[in-house]
Order: sequence, then structure tokens, then C-alpha cells
Amino acid sequence: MTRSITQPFYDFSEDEANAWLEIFMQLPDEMFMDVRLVPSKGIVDTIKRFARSYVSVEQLPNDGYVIN
Amino acid sequence: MFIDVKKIWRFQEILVFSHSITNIKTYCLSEHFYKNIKPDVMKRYSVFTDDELVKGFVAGDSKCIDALIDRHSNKIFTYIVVCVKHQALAEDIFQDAIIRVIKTLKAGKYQDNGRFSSWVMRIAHNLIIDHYRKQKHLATVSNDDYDYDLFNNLGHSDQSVETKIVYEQILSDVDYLVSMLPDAQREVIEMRHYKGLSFKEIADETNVSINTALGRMRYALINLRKLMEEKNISLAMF
Repeated sequence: MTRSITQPFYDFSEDEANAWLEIFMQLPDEMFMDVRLVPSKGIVDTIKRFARSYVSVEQLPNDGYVIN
Repeated sequence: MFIDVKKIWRFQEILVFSHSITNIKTYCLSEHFYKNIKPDVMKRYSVFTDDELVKGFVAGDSKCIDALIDRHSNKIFTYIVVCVKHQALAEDIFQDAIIRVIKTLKAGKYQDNGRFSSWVMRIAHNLIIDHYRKQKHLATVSNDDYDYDLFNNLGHSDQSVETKIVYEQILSDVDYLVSMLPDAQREVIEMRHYKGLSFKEIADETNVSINTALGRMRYALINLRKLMEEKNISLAMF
């Protein structure tokens, strides 16, 4: 009988993410113009639609009232 | 007088094509628009800086956020994939990050402290770290003979007694807070969140304008937050 962690796929370290962030911050944006790794068109379109329709609470009209 | 021949040609082109179709909306969805006109429009936005596009978006021009997303999505998405090494998960985190960016921009809370892309990447980074911590929390030790079993994780198990008690407590706290709101505001909360009505339906049922219904919802949420602080009630699960 073995004892093992059941989520091996998620065994990533935060340090690794920090290191990658530092590297990516220094890379120029132009480097990523023609990369193969791109988000799917459906996701991007969904986000753009959300951006068009989203209204922040701060932008709502002020014709309500507050409890004193 | 200066006449932009290219512009006139473009306008004529639109007229020619829009003549044969029922309305301009149909034309905007047409292949011709996407191939010929849209790239020109987006090209114009490409000359703006990130700050100008941010200001444009906050002012209400949605094409500005399209241009920002097109400009930075590849870099941000690549960073997320490199970290999580999983396409579908990376898309989830990417979507969350950009939605958080949109909400922050629309709320007017964005402060230009340098590069826009760095700020967005920092948001994506925080979401990645959140994901790691959540997964660490879920990791369990198994006595099974095999290394990995898809169905053997906490996500598929029953909730613990403690979680159930906390959840029930939160529900009763929310009921208590909602009951303390003024009638008009409580009504909007109940119709929107308990009955699932749209704001238009709420406006029709309560005989007020949609703006009034939205305003009541806003103040209901503000008052709920105030009440939470006053009564020192926390609605967080963990």
C-alpha cells in the first residue's frame, strides 16, 4: 500500500510563478505579437461583450436613500 | 479645401454594400465589414497609447478596451500558461483577470503607476497564487494502491459538518441583514436575488423606473455593507 498526494497536477510552487513574473515584466510586449499560445476566440469575444455591457455600481444613478 | 479621397471612397463603398442589404447592422456583421472596414478601424486605435485607451474606455468607448485586449492578451495569456501549464485553466484565470481589470477601470480605481500590461500581469499573478493556495488546501493524502484517482478528491466528497454549520449561519445572517433594510430596498433585493427577476421586471412590478430600481439596489448593497460593519458580522466562508 502506498501513500500519495491525490492532486499531483497542481503541485506548482508560488516561487516559480514569482520568478516567471519577473522575467515576463522585463520582456517587451512586441515579443508576443505572433506567439502560438493565444486565448481562444470565444473567451476573448465573451470578455469584450462583457466590457461593453458592464456598468459599475459607482455609475448607477443616485435617486435612492441611505439609512441614517 | 482638403478632401480625404480615401475616406470618401470608403464611404461610397459602405453605401454600395449597404444598399444591397436590409440595414447597417446586418452590414456590420457581414464578411466584407470584418475583412475591409473593421481592420481599418482597429488600426486607428493601435496608434493610441495604453493610457489614452484606458481613458477612452472609462469615457465609454468600448473599442478602446477591444484594442487593449488585442494588444496585451497574448503576453498575459502566455504568462498564465507558463505558470499553470494547463490551457483550459489558463483561459479561466485569463478571463477572471481581464474581468477584474474591466471592473477596476469602470469603477475609476485605476491609477496609472507605470505600464498598463504590468498592472494586468500583477492581477493575473495574484489569481494564479490564489489558485495554488486553493489547490494546496484541497490536496489530500490517499492510502490507495494507485497514484491518482480522478474521483478521489475533496471536491467530490460531502461537506464537513463545520462547513455546513458556517454556511447555514451565513444564510441566516444574510436573512437578518436583509430584513433590516427599508421596505423598498428589501423588495428589490428579494426580487432580484431570491426570485431571480430582471431589473425591468422589478421596475414593472413595483411601478418605478429601471433607474430607480437600480438605485434602490445600489443603496440596499451599501446599507447591507454598513449593517455588516455595525453588527460586526462576517459573511466569509473561510
